[in-house]
Amino acid sequence: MVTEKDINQFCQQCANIFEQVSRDVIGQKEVVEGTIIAMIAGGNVLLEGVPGVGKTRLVRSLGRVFDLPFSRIQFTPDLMPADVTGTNIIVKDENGNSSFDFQPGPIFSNIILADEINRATPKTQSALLEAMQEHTVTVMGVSRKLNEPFFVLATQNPIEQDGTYPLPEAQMDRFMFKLIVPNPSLEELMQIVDMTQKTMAETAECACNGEQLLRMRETANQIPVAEEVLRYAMIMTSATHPDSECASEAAKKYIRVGASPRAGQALISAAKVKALIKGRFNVAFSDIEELAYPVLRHRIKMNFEAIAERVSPDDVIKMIVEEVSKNPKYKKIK
Amino acid sequence: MAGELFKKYYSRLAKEGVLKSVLCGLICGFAVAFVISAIFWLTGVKLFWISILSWVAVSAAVAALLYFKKFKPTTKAIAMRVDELGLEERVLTMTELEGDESYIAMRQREDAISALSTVNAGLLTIIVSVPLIVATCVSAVFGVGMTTISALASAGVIKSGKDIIEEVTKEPTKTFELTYEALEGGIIEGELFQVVDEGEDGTPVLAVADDEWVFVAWSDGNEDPYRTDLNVTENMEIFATFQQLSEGDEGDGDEGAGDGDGMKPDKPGQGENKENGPPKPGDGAGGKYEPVNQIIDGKVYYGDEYEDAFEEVMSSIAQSGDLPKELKEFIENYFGSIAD
Repeated sequence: MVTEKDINQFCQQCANIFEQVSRDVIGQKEVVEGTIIAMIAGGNVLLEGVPGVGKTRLVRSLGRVFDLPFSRIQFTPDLMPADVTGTNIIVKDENGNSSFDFQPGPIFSNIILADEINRATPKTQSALLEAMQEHTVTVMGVSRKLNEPFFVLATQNPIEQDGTYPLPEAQMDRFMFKLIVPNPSLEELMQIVDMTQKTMAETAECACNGEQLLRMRETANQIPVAEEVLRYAMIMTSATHPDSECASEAAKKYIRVGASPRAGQALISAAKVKALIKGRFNVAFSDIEELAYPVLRHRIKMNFEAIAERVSPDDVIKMIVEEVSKNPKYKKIK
Repeated sequence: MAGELFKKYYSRLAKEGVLKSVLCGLICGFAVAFVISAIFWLTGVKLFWISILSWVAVSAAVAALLYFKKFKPTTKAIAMRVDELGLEERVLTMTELEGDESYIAMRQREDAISALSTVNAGLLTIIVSVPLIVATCVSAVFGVGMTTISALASAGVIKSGKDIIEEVTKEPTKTFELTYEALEGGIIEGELFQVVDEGEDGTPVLAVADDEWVFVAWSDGNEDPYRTDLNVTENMEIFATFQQLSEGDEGDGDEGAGDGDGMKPDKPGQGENKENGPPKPGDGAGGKYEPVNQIIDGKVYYGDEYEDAFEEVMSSIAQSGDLPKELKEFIENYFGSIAD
């Protein structure tokens, strides 16, 4: 049961988190907010951006702010699944008897920075699947539960395609958000350079521990969602399917495969957190519309026509949001 | 609680609901009136007032039905409309959480009521969609128009659809041309070119021979100079043929003529044929009308002369016994053929 104390703590801790992250990361407000929303909602985040825009710095900063064990895995083509999950090694005890002992990999942490995740082979990428969804790791037939809270914050570079392996759809679907990290504005760039000229040290401090984060998640989960808003979110998800009953015109034209039901779950979970961060105790249509971009952009598979016309997933989502939001039948009361 | 909060919004949305219901009812009413009026007009039934009654009845019934089934504002509908004023679904969520006494529900309610207090009820405008208004106008034009047409048709001011259909679907009457033409030696009195409906009769024409000419016959064999074509079923082109009298013929005519112009005088009491032309029944000219009363030159009727001439010739034959037998027979046969 949520109490007044939980609400107050949520608000206070959110303010602290944003404040601390802003000490290390200049600008990128939407990316920072999106990452924090996903972390509170318990989702994984894929950050996409060109090198040097602060993706890794943001993730490191969040690791410190949440005061959680943090592992960084630099994904390379020769990285093996065992390098991620850990492996059994033979050890000898005091009596000289040999036995297998599990040596946990870097995934046994709370916050995982999977840097340049698309540089590893699909086999290694798949090592993360179970961890990201079920929060368990199975090695040699033995499943081991990961510590909660557990997040994977992955980065990938969109232009360095040589020697990369695109993430399969199943992997992509396990990321709650895909956030595009844009280049900083001129003003932000001046601030970044000014700050790093003085010191490269990251100054963010702990604002919230793992337990508090879990409590924040529970609090956010209690935020009510009106039936009409819930239906609206599901229509938004369903509208990405070119052959669904709510298929939008944009989906019919540009999308080959629409978003999975996980997208609907992610929309609602994230919308609850977003509403509470805004100081609202209910989810609004506008929350769904704003979150449609990070939730859906990596879950839709564009068709040839979209690629030929250079229509991006964000363009299609914009069309879908406009179509759904302007159609009164999608907001009507049943 | 929501009911009390929404009181000031309810009346506005109720008005909107009534307006929408009435407009929808009018559309249905006009549609029904249009159909009924059209049927009455097309069938020629003079009961246009039924369409007016049906318009009133259907409009009222549909409006009432729609208001209570569809447009009567519910708490949720009011909440959604109020939320459109920038309350971000606070009021809608509040209505769903009514009765929930959890802390989060109470906080949500407080938040919603607080937001609701900042909203001016006057901003909640009555919205009626343009398509609905347009549909009402269009149906009104058609409904009223058709009812007016039906009413005018009932009053006999304009034709009913039934009459118009009958006129349109009726096959056009066939007409035929009658052309009368006189060949050399005469003229035709009357209309030389006539257009006659199928089965109807033409107007009479009369073939009149010039001096020293005689009417022979019409080209179709009719020897009556006075003709009226009856029950015309085809185009006809008729020529009147005349024949010029030879010297002998003329002499015969002069011998038979009277009145000082070479013609034999008319019998007393038989009147005078004042015009050139054949005798007509009852006009008193040329004596008794019989088929044998042939016109020879357009003036003299030899029918009356025949009997006397025959007796005279026969007595002459009897007196002059020196006539060869063959010649006598020839003369008898000749006059006999005339008599036939």
